[in-house]
Amino acid sequence: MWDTIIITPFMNVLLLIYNLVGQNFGLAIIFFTLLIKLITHPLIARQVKSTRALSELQKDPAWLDMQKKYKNDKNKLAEAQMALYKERGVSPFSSCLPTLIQLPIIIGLYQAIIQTMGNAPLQLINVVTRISPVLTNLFSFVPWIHNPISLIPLNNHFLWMDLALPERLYIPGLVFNGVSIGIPVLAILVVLSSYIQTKLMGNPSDDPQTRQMSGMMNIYMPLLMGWFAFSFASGLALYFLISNVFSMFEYGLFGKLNLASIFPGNTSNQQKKLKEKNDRVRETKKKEIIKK
Amino acid sequence: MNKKTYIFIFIIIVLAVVLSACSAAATATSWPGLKVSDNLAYVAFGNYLYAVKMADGTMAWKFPQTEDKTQFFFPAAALENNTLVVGNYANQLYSIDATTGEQKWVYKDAKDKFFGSPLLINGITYAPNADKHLYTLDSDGKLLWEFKTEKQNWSKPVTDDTNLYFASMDHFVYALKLNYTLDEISADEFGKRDAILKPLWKVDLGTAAFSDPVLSSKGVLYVGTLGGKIFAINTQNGEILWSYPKTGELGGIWFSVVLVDDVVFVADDSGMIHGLSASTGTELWSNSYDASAPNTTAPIIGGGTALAGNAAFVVTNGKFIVLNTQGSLVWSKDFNESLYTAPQVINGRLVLAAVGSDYLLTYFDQNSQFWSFNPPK
Repeated sequence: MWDTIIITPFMNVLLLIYNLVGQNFGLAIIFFTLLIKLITHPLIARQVKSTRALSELQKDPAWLDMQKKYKNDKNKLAEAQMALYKERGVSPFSSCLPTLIQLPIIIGLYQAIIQTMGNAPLQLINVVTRISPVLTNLFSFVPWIHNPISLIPLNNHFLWMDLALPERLYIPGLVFNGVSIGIPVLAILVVLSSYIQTKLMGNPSDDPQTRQMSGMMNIYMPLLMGWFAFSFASGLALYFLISNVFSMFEYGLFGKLNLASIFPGNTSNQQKKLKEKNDRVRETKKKEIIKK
Repeated sequence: MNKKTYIFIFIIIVLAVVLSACSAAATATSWPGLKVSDNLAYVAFGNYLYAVKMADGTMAWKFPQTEDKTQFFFPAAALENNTLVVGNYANQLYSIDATTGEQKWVYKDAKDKFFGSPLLINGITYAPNADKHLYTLDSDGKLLWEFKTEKQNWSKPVTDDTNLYFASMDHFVYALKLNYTLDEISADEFGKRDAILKPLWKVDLGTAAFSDPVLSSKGVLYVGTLGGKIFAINTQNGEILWSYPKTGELGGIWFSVVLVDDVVFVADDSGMIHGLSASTGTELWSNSYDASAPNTTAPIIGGGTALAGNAAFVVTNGKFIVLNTQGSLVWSKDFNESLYTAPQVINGRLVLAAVGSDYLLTYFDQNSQFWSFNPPK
């Protein structure tokens, strides 16, 4: 079921792109990632909108007051929060739903990439038996498009990489104890881009617990992604890198990039400013209530 | 649920998905390679090449003697006199004493995996490699010459004792001489003098050839392609005598055709078996064997072998079927295993290698199963 609905169509789209871009699997991964980003863009837009609404609500004096009022009674706090969500027409789950919908697409995407690149006998059978000429036939007017089965085995080489193997860049002369040292360029780029992405796209929060969690995520997630990029096929690492770059660009389009937060020192300043702003808003609202 | 819980769940999902991808990568990527002699059956699977006694199915030896997890042996070994030559996925080609399992030599200069079986004739090894080369080594494992193709080479060469014929994933079938004089060997792209630059002839098949070509006594080469076409080629000049089908294509052909009398048996990955006239390529019959054995719609990957005037095939779902030249089912047997390796015939009985939990190798005929072999844990 999963294979039929997600992986097989993805593999065929990937093969079509490979066909269209002159049988270059690296370019196929880049364009395929871009295509998926375009398809999931409405979901991201909805997620950003929901997150923004949720974030605005959490700066509301009514929200902040109830945190103080019920700080020792979590059940009451939850009830009050739900009531406020209802009153303002904001769903706390609306920002998670698009992520959940995207998840199968993302999983299918990289499973399709891994499976399409496989070149051992059983993996090759898996690819060949899933190939359908339907998509290729639609593009038969393109002069250089080929019967997809004739593309097998795929050309996995892109720049200095074999996309089916973990990536290392070997520089002539870089030798230690007679063994050439390979630099994991892609893994390093994945760590950097993941770090920058989490920093740029993170929402500054004045909640210490959330801040702590975000801080951990900002460090561990890039390292985890980097480890995957270091250990697994470089085609997957290329997908991680391109996906990170496109995500940052996409969030930039929404005006959601938090450029000041890339550098560690700026984060605390920003949080301080945010807290001061929130305090000012709360004070103003209180004065207004007293006046009334 | 608070934000922390959501993040935690997300991390768990990501880890689960990625780790499941890791475990998939660690499983077997191919099927056993099988070669049988009167006394021993040699089966390459996983980290070892096992020699199994034909008399009782017990292990005679295994190679290497100690486990090396970086080495994966899947292609069938080549056997001549008392020498075995077997390649592995760690880019190495070993020569081994067939009786004792002792290593004679190892060739380590290939740049990629040995997916295909080598040909061993008159002490010379002809080994296709995924690094786009066919390597020719002397009886001491020294490189005599190499031939470069455009893509990987997975199929075993075949010879008529004068020339060598092999199919490549670059869509071509090549004819080379079995032996070249020093004058005929040229410098390769790096200036090293060990290359054969020009084949005797080459034929474009349109798609990649994974299967080993089969040579008839009349000098006709039969080869199937992943694109689902079968070609008959005149080995004298590389002329295509016929191809089948004329229009459209079959399912992918992953293994050698079987030649019995004037009938070419071709099995494909859609589960169909076709009988063609070897001389004209005319279709004689085509069956999926559903009428007599309803479970045989699974792909046929491992192909078959000639068996006493008939052809025996393995189906990936564990079905073993024997057909006569009219395409009728002679007998069949069910094995509770995945079958990807063509059976081997010895003394009118069959040896079958399986991918499954019960056994790796079994020796049987229509009425009895004589022994099964499972590697020691």
